[in-house]
Amino acid sequence: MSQEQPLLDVSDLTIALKIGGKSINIVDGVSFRMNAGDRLGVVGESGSGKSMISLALMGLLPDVMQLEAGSIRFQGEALESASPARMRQIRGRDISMVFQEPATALNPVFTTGSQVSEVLREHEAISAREARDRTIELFRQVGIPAPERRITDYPHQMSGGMRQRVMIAMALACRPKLLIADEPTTALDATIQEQIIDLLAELQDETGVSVMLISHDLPLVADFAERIMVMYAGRVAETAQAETIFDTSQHPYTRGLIACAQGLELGAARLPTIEGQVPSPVQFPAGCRFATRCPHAVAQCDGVIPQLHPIGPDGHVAACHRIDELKTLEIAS
Amino acid sequence: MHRYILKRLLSAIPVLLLVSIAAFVLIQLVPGDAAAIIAGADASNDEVEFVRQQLGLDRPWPLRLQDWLVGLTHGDLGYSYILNRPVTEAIIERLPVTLSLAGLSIIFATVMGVALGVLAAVFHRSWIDAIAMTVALFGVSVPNFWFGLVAILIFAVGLGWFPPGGYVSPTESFTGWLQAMALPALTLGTASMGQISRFSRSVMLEQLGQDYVRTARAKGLSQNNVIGRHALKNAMIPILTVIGISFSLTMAGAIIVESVFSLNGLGRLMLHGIQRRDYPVLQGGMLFVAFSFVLINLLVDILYSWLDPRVRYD
Amino acid sequence: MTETTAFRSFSAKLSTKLSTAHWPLLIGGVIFALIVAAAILGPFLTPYGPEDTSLMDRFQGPSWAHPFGTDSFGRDILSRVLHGGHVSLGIGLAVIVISAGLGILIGAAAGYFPKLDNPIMRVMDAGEAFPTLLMAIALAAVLGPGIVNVILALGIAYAPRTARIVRASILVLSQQQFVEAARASGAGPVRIIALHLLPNAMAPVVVQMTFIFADAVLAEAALSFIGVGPPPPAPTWGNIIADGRTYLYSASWITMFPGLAIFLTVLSLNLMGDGLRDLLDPRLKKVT
Repeated sequence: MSQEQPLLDVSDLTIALKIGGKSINIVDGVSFRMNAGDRLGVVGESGSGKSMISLALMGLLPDVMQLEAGSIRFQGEALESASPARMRQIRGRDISMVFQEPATALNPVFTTGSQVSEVLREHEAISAREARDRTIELFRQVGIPAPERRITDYPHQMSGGMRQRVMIAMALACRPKLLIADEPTTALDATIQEQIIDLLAELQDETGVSVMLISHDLPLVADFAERIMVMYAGRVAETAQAETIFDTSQHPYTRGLIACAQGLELGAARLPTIEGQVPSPVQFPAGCRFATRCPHAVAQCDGVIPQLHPIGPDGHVAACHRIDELKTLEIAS
Repeated sequence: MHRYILKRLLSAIPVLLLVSIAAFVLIQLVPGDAAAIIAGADASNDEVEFVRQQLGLDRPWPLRLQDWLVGLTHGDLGYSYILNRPVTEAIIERLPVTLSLAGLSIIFATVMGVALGVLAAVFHRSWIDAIAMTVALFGVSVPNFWFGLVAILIFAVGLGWFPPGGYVSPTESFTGWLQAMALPALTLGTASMGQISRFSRSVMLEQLGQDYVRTARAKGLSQNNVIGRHALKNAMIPILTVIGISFSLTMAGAIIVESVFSLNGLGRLMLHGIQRRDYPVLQGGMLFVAFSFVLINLLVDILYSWLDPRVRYD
Repeated sequence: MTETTAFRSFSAKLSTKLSTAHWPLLIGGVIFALIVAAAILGPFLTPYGPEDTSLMDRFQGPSWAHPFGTDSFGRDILSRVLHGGHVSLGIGLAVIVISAGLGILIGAAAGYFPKLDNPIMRVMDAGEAFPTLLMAIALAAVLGPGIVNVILALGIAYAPRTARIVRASILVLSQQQFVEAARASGAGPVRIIALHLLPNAMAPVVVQMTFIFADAVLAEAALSFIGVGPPPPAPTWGNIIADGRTYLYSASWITMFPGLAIFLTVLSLNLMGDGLRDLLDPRLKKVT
């Protein structure tokens, strides 16, 4: 599985929010890698910075945000310093993205078919006819029935699930190396959510594209991803294989997430919660950002930021001062 | 879409009917003896009686209303004794002038207005934005008749680039027509241009913040494509409404501008009608304006449905 | 919420946001204040009356004796412009009072009583769609020229704009809880509207009034220019320009100065309107 050069190598990524003359780090020293054909899940609550990472990869950070430090190497090329023209080439062709809200992510005054054909014609020198044919094929591939008729539909004539399929078709049109899906199912009905994730898995198998699935929903991601990166308040809490995360993780935050998810699933009488709230970036504490909510916090946690360090095989890393202790103690939450 | 057009056409008919009746009623409200006024100040008693007979002013009003409405379907807008010709004829004769003026000024206002507004939005908070919006503000604040006079002073008299007034038909000389229409169209269009550009800016800003713009960028499309195609097409929908509203400003302003530049158009006809109390002309003219108004609104609605697919399939 | 808290929340919103970042409002306000001061005090300060003729001093260009020059009757243009300001600004004020009064009544009725809403708004739509100036001209033609007729014509013509805004605010506000509370305590519709709803709806109305004032000044000038406004010899900015038109090339100052006066007045009002709108609430941009 290891190759000469990882497809994506993000190292020490730091993104700052510049507002009113102040600079606040929204994403702090995040590092991770992806190889070709990987399925990486990025899990975190809102405010964890997970979406910002994807926007940074695409070069689509809003004006108020800036990449302060770190590097993004895609196929060996440094993206953080790439020219806007180069980024435009990469976007949609080598790295593409599926967004959360399909209702507003599609342009309401153009047909869905034309919006997919558009990305084909932007990056490849093909005729309108050929683009249309390929669009029909893409619609078929993402499971839209009667594709020849559907390509002339406008977004408002389609259901939410179908719109998201169009978004996926649009993202896969130019056969990118990396597909980023940022909360692709959050705005959809529960039954449709499963369908879309299944579709993503199927397409990933067929085309071999690397997929980064971002979500707050840990079980959903676990269904799909091989590796999971858990984020909290702009920093990585833990990264490991999916089964490891579920079965043997001892990181207090991860365990908290799992407990919440399982409580929901098992229909517990009283849903377990993680007490407290995610701190706002302005109020990030000096030490571990989870300390105030952590049942196992000690004095050291408040003062010193825990660094990501290996705690298991297969690249299992975690950031917690007490994680080795907790492993041996095997405390259940 | 055709069903939509048909629906709109049908709903325009009762409005037209209402407007016709309103025009009729308006004239009935004028104090004094209608026949005497229409015949003119220096008409003899016999002539006044003649007019009364001719216009059927001695008949009961329901019959007169009927006459009026029936006359309308034949394109008969009444007869002016002051001008000594049918109102319809007088209007048609002057229509090309007003159409040239209004048409050119709206084209100017729309093109300049949208361009300035889009530039201001794309270069939000830069000096381009500031200049564009200052121009717009000036356009909205300057009295059009004064602007016209100043323009004549500087460009026609001072520099001699354009004639100080008068109309040249495009069939006579196309360049002559453009030269004669340049200053008037500019004068008439300035206020609308200001309005349209201010509105375009805020609409574009809103569109540029929308999700679909982010998607378009994520597809690797060029800035020109994202702004000029994706965002602009959506922005044009509400902007079209403002363009439609600016027809009002244009029609009203035409009266003034025609007077300033000595153009013998519909506006001037109306003005003289007011000054000489030529009620048939006023009545017919107002009706004509109201009708064209309804038709233009209809056109805007149809254009709307062409731009916005969500309206079409309702 | 009681009446006092409704007022209090409005003024609180206003005072916390005032800062030097709001320069359009300040600049516009200063210019307008100067113009108003000139219009009110000016006539007392100039040595000439607006209608004092002097055949010796005809067609004098701008000089120390006559800063704005003289016209075809030897009348001092500066005095005429200052007096004209009196008239034009006075008309503008009267117009906004009338259109505000009418607009508030109609808009409140439409907003508060759902059954009245549709019919009222249809009439308003028709009124608003038809060109204001044309309506004013039509009314002036029917009623005859004169200051009162101009004020009435314009006041009625601008009422639909205000009505629409008042209605929009009332529709939103009447959903709020304090209205329910007031109704439950037995307050009648008039009391509810007047004391609870209107104070909170005033912000967009004030903004709109500023813009209507600007439009009214422009409209009155246009009407005067074509001879349908207040009759001569009383000077208004519009008819001074109309007088000067014949001598556009030979005595251009007659046209220039009143025109500048109109331009500056309308400009300052528009600036104030923009500034007020930004100040009071950016959300208002959708309503206004």
